[in-house]
Amino acid sequence: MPVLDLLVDARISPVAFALPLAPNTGWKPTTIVFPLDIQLGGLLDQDLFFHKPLPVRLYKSDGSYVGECSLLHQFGYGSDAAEALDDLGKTLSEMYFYLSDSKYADRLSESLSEQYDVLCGFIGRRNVAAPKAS
Amino acid sequence: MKVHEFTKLENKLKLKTRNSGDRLAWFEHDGKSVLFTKRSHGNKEPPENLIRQQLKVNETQFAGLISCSVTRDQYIEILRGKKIITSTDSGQL
Repeated sequence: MPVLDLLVDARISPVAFALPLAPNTGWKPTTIVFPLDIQLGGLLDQDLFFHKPLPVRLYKSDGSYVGECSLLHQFGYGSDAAEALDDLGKTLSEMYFYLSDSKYADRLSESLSEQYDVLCGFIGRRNVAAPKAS
Repeated sequence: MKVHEFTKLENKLKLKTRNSGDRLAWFEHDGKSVLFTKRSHGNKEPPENLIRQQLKVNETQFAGLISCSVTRDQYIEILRGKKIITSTDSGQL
């Protein structure tokens, strides 16, 4: 698995919060200050991968957490930061599949076609290997 | 924004989705997808300002879309004015 697929800032991971304080490791809990600019590199559909990490801003808005990608004009939201990022990942995956299908069918406006080109700079589709004949 | 307000927008603008559980809905004009917006899901209210930005309208126009004073045809004119719908997209020369 590419390293980038695992690259989500650990400071916002619920796993990081659950880690016990290990003695003599020098590790100290980090206070998260929002808004927080991160590089998102995971949480996509399993058939997709990141070419490079995507800049995302995490912040609180009206009691919800929002992960916003201004480059792609998309966002995810939820009751915590992890949920917002998970929602954003699913949104980006859905966007990729829809835009790529529509692009080939020539059903995209100029503006969405440009947005698809930006998206392809960050996200690609894995080559799915055909099942081996027995 | 409230979930019922978003549902109103979806119906008025005839936003399309492929599946009922989709996170995105898109606006189509003359057979072409023009823009995406995020659908509400669960009981959480989607951030109004971000939905408005995705629909490419200002606060007054957005309020009009929700309150019924801006129609779908007027919305198309707004998008034309912002060059989001172009003559190429509409198949016109």
